[in-house]
Order: sequence, then structure tokens, then C-alpha cells
Amino acid sequence: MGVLRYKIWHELWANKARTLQVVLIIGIGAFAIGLIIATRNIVSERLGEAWRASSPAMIWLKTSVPVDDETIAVLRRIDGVEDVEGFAIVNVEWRLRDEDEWSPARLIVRDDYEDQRYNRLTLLGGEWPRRDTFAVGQGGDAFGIPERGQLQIRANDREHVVQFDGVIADAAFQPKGDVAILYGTRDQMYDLVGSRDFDRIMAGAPVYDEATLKELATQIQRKLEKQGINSSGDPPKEGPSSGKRITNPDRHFSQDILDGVFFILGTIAVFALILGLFLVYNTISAVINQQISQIGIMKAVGASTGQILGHYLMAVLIYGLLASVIAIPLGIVGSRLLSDYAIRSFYVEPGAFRPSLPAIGVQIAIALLAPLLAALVPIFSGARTTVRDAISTYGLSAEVGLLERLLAKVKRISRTWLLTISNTFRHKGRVFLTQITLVLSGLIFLTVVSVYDSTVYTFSDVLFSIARFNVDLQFEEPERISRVEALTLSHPDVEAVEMWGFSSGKLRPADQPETEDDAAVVFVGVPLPTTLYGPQIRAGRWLIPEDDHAVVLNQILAAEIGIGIGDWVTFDQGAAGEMDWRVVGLSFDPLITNSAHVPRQALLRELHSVGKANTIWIRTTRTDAAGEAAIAADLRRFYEENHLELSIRPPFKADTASEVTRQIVNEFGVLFVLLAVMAIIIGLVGSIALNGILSLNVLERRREIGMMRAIGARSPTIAGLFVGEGLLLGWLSWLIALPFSLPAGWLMTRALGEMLNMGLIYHYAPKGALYWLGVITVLSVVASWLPARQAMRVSVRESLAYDSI
Amino acid sequence: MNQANTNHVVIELKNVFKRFPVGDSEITVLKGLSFTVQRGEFVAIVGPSGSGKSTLLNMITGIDRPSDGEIFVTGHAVHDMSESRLATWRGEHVGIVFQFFQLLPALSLLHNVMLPMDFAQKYAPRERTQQAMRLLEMVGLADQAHKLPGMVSGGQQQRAAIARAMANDPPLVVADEPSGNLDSHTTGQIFDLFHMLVEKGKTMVMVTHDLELARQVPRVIEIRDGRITRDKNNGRSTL
Repeated sequence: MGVLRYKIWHELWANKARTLQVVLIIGIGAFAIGLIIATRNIVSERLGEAWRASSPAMIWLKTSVPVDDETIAVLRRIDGVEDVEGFAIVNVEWRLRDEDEWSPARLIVRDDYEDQRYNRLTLLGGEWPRRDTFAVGQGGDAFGIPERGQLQIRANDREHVVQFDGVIADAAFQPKGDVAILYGTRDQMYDLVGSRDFDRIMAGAPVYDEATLKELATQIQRKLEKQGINSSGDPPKEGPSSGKRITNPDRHFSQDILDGVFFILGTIAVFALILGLFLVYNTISAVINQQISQIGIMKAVGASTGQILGHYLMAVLIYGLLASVIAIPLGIVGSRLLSDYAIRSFYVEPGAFRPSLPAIGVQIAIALLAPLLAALVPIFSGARTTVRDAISTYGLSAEVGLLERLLAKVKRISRTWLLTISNTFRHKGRVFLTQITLVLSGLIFLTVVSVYDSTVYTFSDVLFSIARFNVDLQFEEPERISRVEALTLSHPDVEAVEMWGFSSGKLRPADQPETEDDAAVVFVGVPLPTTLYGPQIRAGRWLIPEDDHAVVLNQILAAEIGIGIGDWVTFDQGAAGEMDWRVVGLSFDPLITNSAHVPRQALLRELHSVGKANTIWIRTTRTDAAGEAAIAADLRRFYEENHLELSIRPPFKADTASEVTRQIVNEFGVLFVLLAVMAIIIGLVGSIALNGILSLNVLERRREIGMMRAIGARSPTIAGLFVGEGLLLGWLSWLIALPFSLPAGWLMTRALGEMLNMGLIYHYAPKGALYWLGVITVLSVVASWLPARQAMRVSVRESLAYDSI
Repeated sequence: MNQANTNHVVIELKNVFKRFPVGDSEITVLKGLSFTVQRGEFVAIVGPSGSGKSTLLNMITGIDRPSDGEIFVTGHAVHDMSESRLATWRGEHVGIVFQFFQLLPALSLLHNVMLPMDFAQKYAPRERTQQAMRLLEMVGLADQAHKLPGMVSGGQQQRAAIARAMANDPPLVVADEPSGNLDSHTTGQIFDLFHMLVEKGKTMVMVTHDLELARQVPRVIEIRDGRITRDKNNGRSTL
């Protein structure tokens, strides 16, 4: 290297702003990628550890009626089953004080807390539930429940005051939304609801093998069916409607979703890096251009092409080293904070932090290699310049192309603006690369806004056009339809009411035998004609009152099992038997993607529940969120007074449509925050890139600026040229990004919907485009301000004096 | 290849032409130049602006190639060498002094002088600093060694450039308008340095438009319209 190493350090220091820009932009890219990799690794490892430590069951079933110890013992004897353990989940209500409103809670009951076989709970403080005390689930403080004390529980219309003195962590169940978790004994459950039996079954096998376990789960279910007990899969997080019965004991149940989220974030981080590398390319190109005569002199005094190459590659390598000095510690700190947040959101303790070495390795490789790759082309090109070409004449010169000739003919625009336009497009290659950076920034921003808009649109506008009711409630037992509807209509705040039937099971084409992979389905019995449901038909037709065994399938479900209009399907209800239905239509429903709508009277007949149903949908006089909630609460009291027992949890997890929408959109909340953060990072990268390009332009046009000053241009005019250039580049990128944002937003919305198994409707809101126009305008002005200031400070004497190299 | 060496000929041009494309046509800048320069000679090449002086110098240093003809410098067929070979050859055999000094602005005077040594690897690393300091002493800049070019005067920069040209002790030193940017007093200092180099056995070729300066050089070659019109050596014309 010799004395040229002093040249490298001198130039890094003398051009601090440029050095900082390049180092920052490489550092941001390496940091973002390392952050995602490290966080993913740490979160997956820790959640996996916690999951494995809980000795999770491999088979999870929910039974239609509670099962006793004798039934559990029978299941234990099935060949291939390692062990079976039962537990119960009871929906209750709780409050701390008399003046508080009752809130829903899930009471989980285990057989023996001191001897748990599967899904081992962890006692975090206090004591396990015993005869006179309950325990509360981790996260109870979010509901105002202290670690010990007294609370009131209501179940089966009876209120109890109970003591609690324990906090329990459960790897499989985390409290969320407005549902607290309590733990109790079988005796306590008997006191509350009059039963000691279990409605959940956990089972395991010696070795995890999905096919074997599916077969075992089927055997367990068939054994239960012989006793007239229906069952469905109920693994953690998925729930009964998913159709899944098996979980992998080595893989946390949320790992698939986490992988999907980290994949999306990682992709965006890679984009941030690529955008940054465009700036590196532009900067190195400009540096080489600026130093072309120095390259010529070095060759004139004996430097070979290889020695020139080595010198400039070393300079880029030093940028990379400096970038890694920033990226690695930031990545470690960031991954610690982000992984702690993510792990704690699962109510797992993060444990001792260990930096992810693979992530650090990737960061080093990216920081060192990526800029080298980006800089190779301009460095090779510069290094191969001949001495003659490099040692050029001096003065102002520029190519005169079509744009310049056209602008020369324009009459009514000021020369300053004409100059701005001409300057902006002077280096077409550089403009092209800058545009790629800015356009991609805009695309990602617009896509994130589209996804958010689409989600809100689907679960508010579209949902409200489909579900034309405000309140949905479920009775503990099927109630007489005519009585309940008449009673409900007598309430002053009710405009319309319908009772619907629900049943879940498996679905398959009618001409095929039963298999392990039959789709889970929710059969929805529709009162015909209905005024509270506006079906979105995608093919065929909706149900008519004359229909009997006709079904309208959700289009997602139909595609999954390969069914079309006119085909027959078999609905398997386990112990309740099977029935065939003919598909007359395909619909879209974002809430239940495995729905099958059938005439209510046909369904109730098959369920031996003619004239009785347990789900009630109500259209109220008030449609605002507060009004709906007040009427729902009043209706609960109304039904209680009329001796109609409601279950705590309605089908859609909330009493009102507004609350359902809010909860669903909130579930996307964390994802939107992460996407928004990445969009901001992308925007910053774009701004830094623009700043870098404009700074290079100032550097290269020093002589030209000096000449303009010599003929009378004032500082604001000079500054205006560069701010104008920045704005032109920003607005041009906005125009280019707009049409591409439509398909990009559609793709992202669709991908997200598939990942989360939700039917999202793509909705483009123009406000996103306006927001980005505002953002890019601000970013362009901010990015161009420093270069504009540099330009204002160029003196005539310095810029026009001979500068030997 | 040793044709020039046996006769102590350092530079030999044989019927050298140089043409440049201009739009759809060509201009011929050098029209069949032929001459030799012996070892230890001090030659000035003069001529009006546009006569081809600098082009001729570029031919000699290998910075440019002839369209036709042959050029032998220090025994090497410069017209035939590849770019990479030329760079190495220049580092070892030719020292170039430019009109605009052309020192690297990010390196001190000392490091600028050491730079060709790093490229040629002729001296061991430990010797390079000493050698460079000796050269700076020779040109009277030892006390400015650690300054950047921007911190010293034009004359000092040109003296540093001369020291750099001597970095690898080349047999031939060429200077293209070395006093073009200097005042008369400084020009005199530079010229004295050139004489000193010649006294040390170097061959010196200088392009200048300054006829006053050229008169002080033992041999003057005049070029007009790409042709040698006069080749005067100690008062005797060789044409």
C-alpha cells in the first residue's frame, strides 16, 4: 500500500460529510439485516426453549361435552398413545369490587398441579391453586389483578368471592384482549359450574411424527364418538375452527407466523441495503470521476492498473469497516431490545442475552462485501483509464443532448428553472440510480399504507356491508327461536333480530372417503330470507327459502378442497353423523374463511334441534361503538331477567361489531408498527441517497458555480438551483412510484391475507399517495439543504483558480 | 531493442506521425518526425501553440501512441508496449514534470516523492523515506517535507514535482512547460535544477514556448505545423 494509505485517510477525513453518508448508508443496511436475523434467531430460540420446557402435548382436542377420568383412562390405553391428560376451560366473569363491571375470564382447571404431564405450567409466585385459593395467569396486572387478594367470580348466575394467591405462566395460553386467565382446582370448578370433568384433552406419543399423530388423533376421536362425544382440534392459538389437532413439541406454535413476519421485515431490510448500495455506487463513481486526473498522474509515475484498483478497493473496504463498527453494536443493542419485547409479548422471560454470532457474521460480510461489489464497476472503469484520457484540458464543458436543445427553445420559463431542469438530468445514469432508490422508498411506503387501508376497509366497510348487525350473543343452550326473537324485539333499542345456527366439523367432496386432511368447516344456519347478512357472492347464487340441502361455501374453503358450483360435499359432524349438501354458490367472508352457509331449518333438523338455536344477531337503534356496547350490556341484563342464560364468549369474541373490528385491526397492530418503522428507515435511506447525490453534484460543479457568481448570481439563486434539483428528483420519483404502487399493494395485501389466513380485500386510498407526496417533498428539501448551503459557500476565486488535480 | 543503447541514444524517433479525428475528418498533428537524443543531452522543444510540442512529449513518455512510425526510448519500443507495461516502464525509466505540478493534494510533499518508489518497488521500504528526503534536500525543500501541496507556493510545488520525477533515479527526465505557471525568478530556480540534473548525467527534454528560456538550453528543436523546422545544437543546426 505504501504512502497511498495516507491519501485514503486524508480523503476520508477531508470529506467528512461524504464519508459519514456512505458509512451511514452501508451501516443502516447491515444493521437492519443483522437486527432482523438476530431478533429472529433469539426469539425463535428462546420461545422454542420455553415451549420445549413446558413438555407440550402433541395432540390437542376439545370435546363437545366434558369427559371423566374413566374416559381419559380408556384413551390412555390406545396403542401408540404415550399418555393422555385432560383439563378444562370454563368461561366465567370476574370483578374486583362490587362497583366494577363484570369482565370475561377463562378459568383453566388442571387435575394435579404438582404432577403435570403435558403443557407444564410454571409457578411464578405464590402457590398452586388449592381448595381455598385460586391463582391468576401471568399478565393479570394488565387487568388490574394483583398477585394475591380477593376477587368475585360469577358463573351460572351465581357469584362467589374467592381468594387467589399465585401467578402462573402457561406456555400455551397467553392473555390478550380483554380476557384474563384464572387457574383453579377440579373441586373449585365443581363449586362454580357443577362439574369436575374435562373438556380438553392433551395426548402425546413417544416420537413426533405428523402422520402417526394424525392417525392417533383420529383414533382418539373415534373412541370418543363411540361414547357420543364429538371433538375437534384445539391447539394453542389456532383454535377449533382451524381443523388442526397436532402441534410440534420442538417448534413453538407461533413460529410460522413469526417466520412470515420476519421474512417480510428481512425483505424490506434487504431493500434498504440495496438502495444504500446505489448511493455507494454513485459516490464511488463520482469520486473516481473527480480523481481521474490523479489516476492519470499515478499511472504517469509508474502505477499499474492493479495498484490503482487495490488503492480504491481498500478505500471502499475502509468504508465497510467503519460501517460495521456502527452496525454491529447497534445491531446487538437493537436485537436485545426487540427480542426482549417480542419474547415478553408471549409472556416468556427473555433470559440471559447472547448476541447472535451468525447475525454478526452476516453483518460483517454485508458491510465489507456489499460496498465492494457496488464499487467494482466504477473502480475498474477508472483504473483502466489511460494516462492520456485522464490528464484532460480544463474549463467548463458538458454534453449537449436532446433535452438541452429542447430547453434552449423554451421561452416563458425563467433561465434559473431551465438550468435546474437541465442540471437535474445532466448525469442520466446517476439520475436513474437515484430514481430507483427514491421510487423504491415510495413504493414501500405506499404499499404499507395500502395494506393498512385494505385491512381497515375489509374489517370495517366490507364487514359492515356483510354483517348488518351490531350485537351478536350466544346462549348457553339452544333456545326457542320464536320466543327469543319476539322477546328481543320488545326491547326498545332493537330494530331487527335473527337467530342463527352454528355447527363445526369436517368437509370433503361427497365422492371421496374420509381422510386425515379433510378441511375444518363451520356450518352456518341462515334464516331465510335474512336481513342481517349481506352475502358477497363470487359465483353461483345465494340461498333461497325453497332450498333444503343447498350450501354456499366460502370461496377460500372451496378452493382448498377443489369444489365448484353443482358439486356435492359431505359434512362430517363426528358422533352426530354425516350429511351431504349441494354447492349452489361461492361467497366471500373475511371473518370465517371456512364458512358454509346453509338454510337454518335444514341444519337444525340435522342437528335434532328444530325450532331452537343458540346464536342471536341484533340490529340496534344506535350504531356508534359506545352505543352498541351499552345496548349489548343492557341486552345481557334483559335476557338474565327473562331467565335466558348467555355464554360469556360470543362467536366472534366480542359482543359488538365495532369491538370485533377494533380487535382484528389491533391484531395487525404490531405488524403495522414494524412495517411503518421499516418504511421510515427506507425513507431515510432515500433521503441520505438524495443528499449524497446532490453533494456530489455541488462538488463537481464548483467551477460552474464560481462562474455563475462571477456573472452576478446571488446565493439564494445558487441554493435554489440545488433545492430545485432535489425537489424535481423527489417529485419525479413520486410520479413513477404511483402506478407501480397499485400492483405492489395488491400483492402485499394478498400475501399478508394468505399468511394470516384472512380474506383481505385490496383497497387503494388516494390519501396514501398524498401523504407520500408530502413526505418526499419534505425529505427532498431537507436532503438538498446542506448541498445548497455548500454551493452558496463556493467562492469565485477558489473555484476558478487552477486546481492541479 | 538495444539499438538505441549501443549508440548512447536515449530517444529515437523514426518517421512518427500522429493523427486525431475531428468530426468526420482528421488532422495530422505530427508529420513524419525523426530525431535522436543522446544520453546526457539537454534538449528544448519549442514551437507556437498548437504546433504539436506536447503531443510529441506524450509520444516520448508513452502517454500517447503514434499513428505511424517508431519510437525507442531508453532502449524500449515505446510504440509497441501495452498500457500496463508502459506504466511500469515509466516508473523506472522516465521522470515527468508537468506544467501544473500534478502533485496529489492529499499527500505531503515527502509522500508525493515517495509515491513512485512504492509503485516501482525499486527501493526497500525502509530506504524510501531517506531517499525521498535526500531528493527534497536536493531541491531545497527538506524543511517543507511534511506540508501538503496546497500549503506551499507554486515554485515549491514544482520543485517537489522535480524531486518526484527523480524518485526512481530515471535516466530520462521530461518536462512539459515546467515554468508555464511560475514567475521569472522561480523559473530561474527551476532551470538551475534542470542543469544540475544534466550535470549528474540525466538526459533532459523540456517543452517550452518561452524562447528566452530555450536560448539557455544547449540544443533546441523547433516544431511548426507538426514538422521539425530547426534542430540547433550549440549554435550548429543539424537540419
